[in-house]
Amino acid sequence: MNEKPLHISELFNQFHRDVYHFALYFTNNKQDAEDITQETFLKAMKNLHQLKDPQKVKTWILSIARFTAVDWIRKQKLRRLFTITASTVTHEEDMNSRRVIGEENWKDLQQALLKLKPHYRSVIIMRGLNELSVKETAEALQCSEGKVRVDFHRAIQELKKDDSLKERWESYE
Amino acid sequence: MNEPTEKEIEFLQNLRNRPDKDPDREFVNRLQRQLIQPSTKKRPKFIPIAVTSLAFMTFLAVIFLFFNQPPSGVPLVLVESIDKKEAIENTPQDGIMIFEQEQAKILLEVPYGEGSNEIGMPQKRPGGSDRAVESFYVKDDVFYLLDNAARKVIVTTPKGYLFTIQLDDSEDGKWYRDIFVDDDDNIYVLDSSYYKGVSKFSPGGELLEVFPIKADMMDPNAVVVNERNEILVHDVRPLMENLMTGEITRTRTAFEKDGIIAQVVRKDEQIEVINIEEAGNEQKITVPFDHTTGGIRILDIRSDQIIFEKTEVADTHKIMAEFHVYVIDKEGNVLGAVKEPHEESAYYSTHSLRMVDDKIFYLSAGADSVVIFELIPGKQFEKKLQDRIDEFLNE
Repeated sequence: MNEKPLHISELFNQFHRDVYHFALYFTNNKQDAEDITQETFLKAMKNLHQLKDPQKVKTWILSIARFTAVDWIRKQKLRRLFTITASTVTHEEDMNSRRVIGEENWKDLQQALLKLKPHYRSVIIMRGLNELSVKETAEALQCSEGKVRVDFHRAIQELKKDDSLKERWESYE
Repeated sequence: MNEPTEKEIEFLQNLRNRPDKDPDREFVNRLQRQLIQPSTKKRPKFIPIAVTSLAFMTFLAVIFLFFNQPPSGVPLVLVESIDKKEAIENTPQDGIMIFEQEQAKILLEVPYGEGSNEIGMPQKRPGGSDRAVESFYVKDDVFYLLDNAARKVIVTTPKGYLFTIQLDDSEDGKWYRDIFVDDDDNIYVLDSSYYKGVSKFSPGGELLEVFPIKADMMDPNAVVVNERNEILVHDVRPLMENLMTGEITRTRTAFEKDGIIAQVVRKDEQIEVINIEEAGNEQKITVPFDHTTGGIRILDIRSDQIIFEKTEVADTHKIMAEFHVYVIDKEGNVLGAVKEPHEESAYYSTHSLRMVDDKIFYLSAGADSVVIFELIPGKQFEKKLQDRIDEFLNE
């Protein structure tokens, strides 16, 4: 019982970028990502006493972020989410062709990601972008490691089927 | 096997090229300030009001037990009969009664379970949406509990269960968030999910009509019916939709009633100011905080009483808060207060505090059951936050 108590300030400093990234990739909307991040940390603050194992704090907070994001969509954003475009993002033209290809890829990839069902989207973001291990992803999604492996595989296959990504996948393979 | 290939991982990494992937500094700073209250000041020594109160309460309780049978319900503080006479005599014409000692009386307890008169099991996962009881209403000793986990409304009384209204659960993601009962006992239930709307039920639980809510109301969280029988839905943002006219207005006030408009303005971390406009006069009432402000929510304004919920937040890195309902006069003098018994709450409902007519009700969603208290303000009331801070600092 001599463990140092976890403070919300530490939690925020360590993980606000992870939570924000998760929310941004999940919604493709900056305002929504901010709202989800805020709600996630407010929930974490209220529930910090429930965190039994401080070693699992990252998956715990991402688990809250994921529930919050799913709720967010359910509650209010579904219609807008499917019509939103990436055109709100402005950036300078880069003459480096590899970089340009990369930027095109992120837009199409983001759009394709939004078409996946929320669970697949969460698996892709946590495993592929937040770089959680299979075990950590399973903890955050509260499912078995086997399910994470299978669902990640299926989610990737879904992405590969997306018309806007087919050619690029082939160039990678 | 089912592991991603390096190429798949590499391709996914393209998403990291999005130029706006990092949060704005301003947003981060703002949220950080909201979450963290840096400790900067020494606090005065705690005056042991709680200890004195406890001794006083124990003394009165012993007297009461010797001379009285317990009343219905299980009062936490058994002093009602002793100071009721004095409370009645000292209550202004349209004010609420203030006793010598605060009271939190248990009126109703409903266990979790699968029965029609039991509350659906709450979701244990932090951040999940299936908090069981999201809201409640009390009218003429009838309790209406909005159970979001089991998608139902339980209508019950302390003397016995009445009936259950099963709510629509045909779509995934339904989120029932508030309930209201009008003067004719019609029941209104707010669904704040993507399929948002207000369902109106007859006093016996028959579905009469579903009123849709406009998409502009992105996060509706409360429903009320005004004296003109108009259904008004409030959003988390300062917006209100009149479901009869479809008009959406920006709600600029914290409280409005009978020509009285009140707004709460934060002066600094330890002072909130209630601005009241009444009959062309403006009045500013300063409300100090012992620790730091977590906000004020006005519940009602009477001719010489302002009743509000006050949230004190500890000025420490560990987040600790305490909630009271205060009654003050229009000079700002505290007439009485009562501490909300939130310690046993396993999760927080969207609406855990209701003031109906002259009574204040508090819903505590515990781990094993849901309890509704009646809160009665007292001239003497407990403050436990400093004890918790001291305990934390001495760890």
